[in-house]
Amino acid sequence: MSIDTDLVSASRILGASYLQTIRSIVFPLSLSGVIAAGLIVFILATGSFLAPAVLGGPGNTMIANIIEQAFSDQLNIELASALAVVYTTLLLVLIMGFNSYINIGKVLGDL
Amino acid sequence: MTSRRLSTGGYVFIGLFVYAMLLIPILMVVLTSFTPQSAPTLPTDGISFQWYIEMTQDSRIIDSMIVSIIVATIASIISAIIGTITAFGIVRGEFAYKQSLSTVLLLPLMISPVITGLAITQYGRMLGLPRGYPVLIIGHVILTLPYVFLIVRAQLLTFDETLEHASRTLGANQIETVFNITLPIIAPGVVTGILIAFVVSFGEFTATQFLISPGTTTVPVVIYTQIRTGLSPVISALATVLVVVMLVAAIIAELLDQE
Repeated sequence: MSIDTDLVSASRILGASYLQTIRSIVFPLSLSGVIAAGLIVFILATGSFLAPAVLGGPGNTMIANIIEQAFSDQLNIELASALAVVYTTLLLVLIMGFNSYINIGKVLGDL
Repeated sequence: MTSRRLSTGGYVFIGLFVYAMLLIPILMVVLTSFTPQSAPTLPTDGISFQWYIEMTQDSRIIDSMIVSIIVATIASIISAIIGTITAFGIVRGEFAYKQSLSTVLLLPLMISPVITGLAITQYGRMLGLPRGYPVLIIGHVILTLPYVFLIVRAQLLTFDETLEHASRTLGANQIETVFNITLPIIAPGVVTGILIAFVVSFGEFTATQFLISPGTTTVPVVIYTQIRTGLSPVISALATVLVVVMLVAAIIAELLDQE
């Protein structure tokens, strides 16, 4: 998962500027890591509960808040479960698709 | 050379900005806990410890702190035992669907804790598990397991297995080898895992709100219920204590990791 610094040196020796090297060598080689990071943040953000509950206004409810309300306020366990199933299914599809592209365990393990 | 120096300055600026955004809100909470006012304002007119004293007189807060410490300690130890065994299986074993099973272990990290919490309460109810500590600890073990697994796995991946072979060749049996070679080498990873699990468990709110019962409320849940009814410097003081405990555990983990 690390970029060979010789490639950077080669690019510089062959006359590319600092920014050109970043654009044509460093960025393309780190793209998979950037995408992986973005997806992990996306996954974590879709499930966030505390931030919308504490910082969000009445119009800023997210799926996790709806599930919590259905369970705790309306005592509608069936609705909460159904919402949880839909959310989890979508998430699992995303993770599986992600896993075939880059192994999520490997990305997290490299931290 | 000037362009290089400029870009270094740029990095420093961006870095400082990011750290400022991360740390200033926490610093604000810490500062407001020392205010002499009755609202959580910055202590511009002197420093007062009255809110810490008031905090220690609130039995609800003290009880929640005891519950948090008990749950985090037990859950992180159980999590470390299960996580270490699992990491051994995943790293050393050869079996079908190893990769997929490894990903499944990380799911509690990715699935919204609201769902994990809801699922555990429902399942606990179905199984007839007593509410209170059992459900709370099982929930926290599930939530902290991925952290221990990832940390111990990283340690095992760099483990030189020839050391174990050498120990066996020199006449030590399997159990002696485990206690003299394997465990001492992975110990820093396991201890780091326990500490990180402790920090995660101690600060966990989202799933915990479903798992608590009267009498077993944890510190983050008390903070959340309090800020819903109104801000008070007592909550800032409690949050400061929470931050300090987590920070100490994280620093010890970091120091162990460097050795």
